[in-house]
Amino acid sequence: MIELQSVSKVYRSILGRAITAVEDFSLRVDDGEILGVAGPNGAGKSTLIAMLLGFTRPTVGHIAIDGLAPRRYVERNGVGYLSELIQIPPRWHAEKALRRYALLSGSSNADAPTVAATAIKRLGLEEHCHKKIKTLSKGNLQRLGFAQATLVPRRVYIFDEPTHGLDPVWTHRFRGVVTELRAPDTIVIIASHNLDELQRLTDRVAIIDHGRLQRVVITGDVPDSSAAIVYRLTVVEGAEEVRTVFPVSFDHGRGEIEVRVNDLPELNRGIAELIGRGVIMAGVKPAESVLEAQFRQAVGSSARRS
Amino acid sequence: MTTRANLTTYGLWQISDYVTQRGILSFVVGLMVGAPVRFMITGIQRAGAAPERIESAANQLSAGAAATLGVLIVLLAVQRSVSGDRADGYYRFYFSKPVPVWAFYLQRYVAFGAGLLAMVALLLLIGLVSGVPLHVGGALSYFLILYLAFGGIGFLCSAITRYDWSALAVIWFGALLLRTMYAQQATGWRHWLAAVLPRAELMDGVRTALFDGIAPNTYDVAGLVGYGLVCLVLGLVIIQRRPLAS
Repeated sequence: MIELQSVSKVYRSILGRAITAVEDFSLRVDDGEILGVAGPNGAGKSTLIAMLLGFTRPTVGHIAIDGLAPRRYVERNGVGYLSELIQIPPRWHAEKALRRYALLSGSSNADAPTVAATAIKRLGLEEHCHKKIKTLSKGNLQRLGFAQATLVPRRVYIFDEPTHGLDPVWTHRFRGVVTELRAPDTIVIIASHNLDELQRLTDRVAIIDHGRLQRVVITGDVPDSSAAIVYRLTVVEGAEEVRTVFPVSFDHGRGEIEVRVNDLPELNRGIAELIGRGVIMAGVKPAESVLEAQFRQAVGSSARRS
Repeated sequence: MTTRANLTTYGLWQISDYVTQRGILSFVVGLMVGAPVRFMITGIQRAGAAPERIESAANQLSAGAAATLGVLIVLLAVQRSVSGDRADGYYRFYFSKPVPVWAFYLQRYVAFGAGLLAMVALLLLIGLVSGVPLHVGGALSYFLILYLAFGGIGFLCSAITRYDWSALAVIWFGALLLRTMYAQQATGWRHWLAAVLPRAELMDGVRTALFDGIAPNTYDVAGLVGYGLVCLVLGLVIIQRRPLAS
């Protein structure tokens, strides 16, 4: 279990100017949970992660991983960590880099090559394993970073912008790997700007802005059926009928039409009518997920307060 | 599920880092500094000097070359040894593993020292093979003492600031300058500064003795090495207590 209690982090310049990166942040992450952390640039996500890894200490408040201070926990157990920037000495070769990290992760000298080779295979880096780090593309470097984070099983994983630079195929594979990491005694924390990614992978998302925890969204929640909502219809045939049934609508072209309804029953009645009129539809989905709507509200209200 | 890094085996990679990133350059510098010594000794030999005269000249010339070379290669060995990881962000992946930060850097200090001594041994071997009479044990002892004294201060500088090599140069040469200018007569703030700075001027006597094949003053060696070791321990304390991320 990870526990953050009233955590604040204030950076001070040489001239004494204070910058509050994280303010009065409290959250508990239970075993078995995948937590997302979302927020705009400069919201405090990186500082929060640095504190979770014990790279820096809170100015005020308390952080504990399984009851231990973060640095103490990491020095005892290690954490599967992927940083936003993949910083590995540029002269190292990919495979040798993984062998080194395997040794630091606790593998024996005899096991390290096997551990590295398994990670290389899992992340599809076979053809790049003898290349120098400085010659790797952004996507391959990201996969290498992910390989070093998952070299050996850990109880805690922290991924900062994990799909940054990955192509769609590897973004999809990443989701599979994260799903495999889910276990009753494992905690995975994913910080990302990609709300769709967080919606798919996480159980809860902590939305941070201006260093404060704005709200925690449970990603499995469905939209409030009594609130006005926007849906996106994908129409194959009869798109011109939509405006007559849903007066408040916007045609994005190629059969993609956004409609605004007051509640879910109104949406269902409208769709039934469209089908009755012979309209052929391929899909209906919310124009934005619960998470996107919550994020927009949280960040908007935080901006208004500041 | 407690795991520990296999840090001892990782030490071999740290030695390899020294060789590829710093050792080869130090070796080239060593050859450049050593080659003129060889030529001068050849000149003395061709002039028909007595063997004792040749050996004495070789000791003096080698000690002089070692003074320049020693400072350069120790500077090369310790600069950015800690601060570089912070500046370049490499600490993130190292220290998300079950690695005590202080142990990682202490081992790097030892590994770089071992690499430096191996590189110096190779240079001395080349000198011997080319006919320069040298006290190999004395020369190796000098570089070890210099690494422990000067390198220990460099390690502390690297734990504190990314401008470590310039800080080390200011401390070492500042101490030399202060003591040369004021000898024992420093008063006021200069007295206190002289008391805090390393006794860098003692290194000359230690080096001369070792290159002549005689035992140096034990107190001088203890003072120099002790100062370096105190700096090393201070550096380790700072590394462990100071946040890795700035």
